[in-house]
Amino acid sequence: MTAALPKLGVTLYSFTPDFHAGRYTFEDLVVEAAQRGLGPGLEVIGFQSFRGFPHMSREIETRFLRLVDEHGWELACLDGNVDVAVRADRLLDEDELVEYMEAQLAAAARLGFPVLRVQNQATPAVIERLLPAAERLRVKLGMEIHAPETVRSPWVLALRELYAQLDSPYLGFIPDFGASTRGISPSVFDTFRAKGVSEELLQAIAQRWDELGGRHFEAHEEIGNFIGLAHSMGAGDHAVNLAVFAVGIHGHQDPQAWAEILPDVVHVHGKFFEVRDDGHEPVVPIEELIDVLVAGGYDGYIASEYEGWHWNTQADAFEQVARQQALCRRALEKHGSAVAR
Amino acid sequence: MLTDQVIADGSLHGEADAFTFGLRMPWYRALPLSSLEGLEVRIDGSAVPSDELRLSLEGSTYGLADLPPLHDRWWYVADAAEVRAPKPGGITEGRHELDVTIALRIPYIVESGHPLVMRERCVKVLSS
Repeated sequence: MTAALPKLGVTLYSFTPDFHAGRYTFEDLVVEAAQRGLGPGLEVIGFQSFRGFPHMSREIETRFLRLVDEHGWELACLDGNVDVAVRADRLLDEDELVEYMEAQLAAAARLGFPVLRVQNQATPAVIERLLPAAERLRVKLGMEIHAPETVRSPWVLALRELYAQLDSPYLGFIPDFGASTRGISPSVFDTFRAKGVSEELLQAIAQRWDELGGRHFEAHEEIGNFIGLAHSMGAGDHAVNLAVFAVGIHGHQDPQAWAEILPDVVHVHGKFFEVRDDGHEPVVPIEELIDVLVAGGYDGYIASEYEGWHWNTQADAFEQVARQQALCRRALEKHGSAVAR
Repeated sequence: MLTDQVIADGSLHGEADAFTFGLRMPWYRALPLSSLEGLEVRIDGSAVPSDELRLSLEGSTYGLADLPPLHDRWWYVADAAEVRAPKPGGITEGRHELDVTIALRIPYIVESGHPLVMRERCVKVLSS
């Protein structure tokens, strides 16, 4: 018997522009993504999709669960947010943040999501204090590792140490494929070239991104440096976006490095930026990333996360996800029997 | 991010001594009202004092100064808040340039103790 392979799925965050512009409601997206065969795993952002999250009405929960059932979805991950700066006057203290996150864990449990995505504003102390609720509710805490962070970022190392010490199946990580890219997506350059940004600046940004690969850097400092570079070369209003897109969502981590934390991986974000007409994603090494997951025995969901919409507002996100899943499927098929659509 | 929707299409309406429009947040998820850190409105080049703006959401109306303590009142991402801006004599029927800048505190992106504040500007010509 061959080992189980990862399963495919999608986060509805991929369709944010369609949702935000009112072309699809949340419930429309649940139906449309199912009809296009983008499952079986479903991931949603609580504060995006559910009015009143994490204290939704019974009616909202019931309608969602009925749609999930009717359309054959498997609930993969609920994205929580660690809103430490929810107050205008000060940051939440540890007690308040634990309470804030416990409400999101409870929402995940009520809906039947096996994993709650959490973010790095949750310190190891907060995670440790959330563990009893996670275990009681049977919802795993999945800490997202997103570009420009890596499995060796100091805060990730601290969490790995805590996980080793507590040794609970309810503590884990969520790798984001965007942390392991080969470069800045050409679609970023296409977009800013069309907006009139000079070729010299785009080349300078690409070169500076390459230089960052070999060393440790602080994200906010480096975003500042990129903004400075872009301003000095005439990017004007585009400087901040260019810097954030370059440094904040295109990471340098070696895909093989995920192997270090794979036993603790509870969900995966299949981030990508553009699958071109030739069927390839130019900067996310999807095949290699999937090889690493399979080699490590990961058999959870890879939720496709299309994020090219930040700059390319014209692309058909449903088509993009379908193309990326075709790529994932081909990569998985190398490892075993055909992956069901 | 998602700047095009900040002024909701077709939402400009004139009143006797004011105009109103629909304001959307340029962000992908709900935020508490305490996250709205600034709002600047100009119509046809002339600024409306921010302290005179009123925001209505789910049946309640607020001035900007009312918002900071409201960290448990949520602005759902798909909802437009109605902004009412006083303007003596109202606005003429027809096309007007509306220029809106909104500042939002992003509550989970914090560097060295300082939350990220995003500012987005949206300019649209709308018919009243």
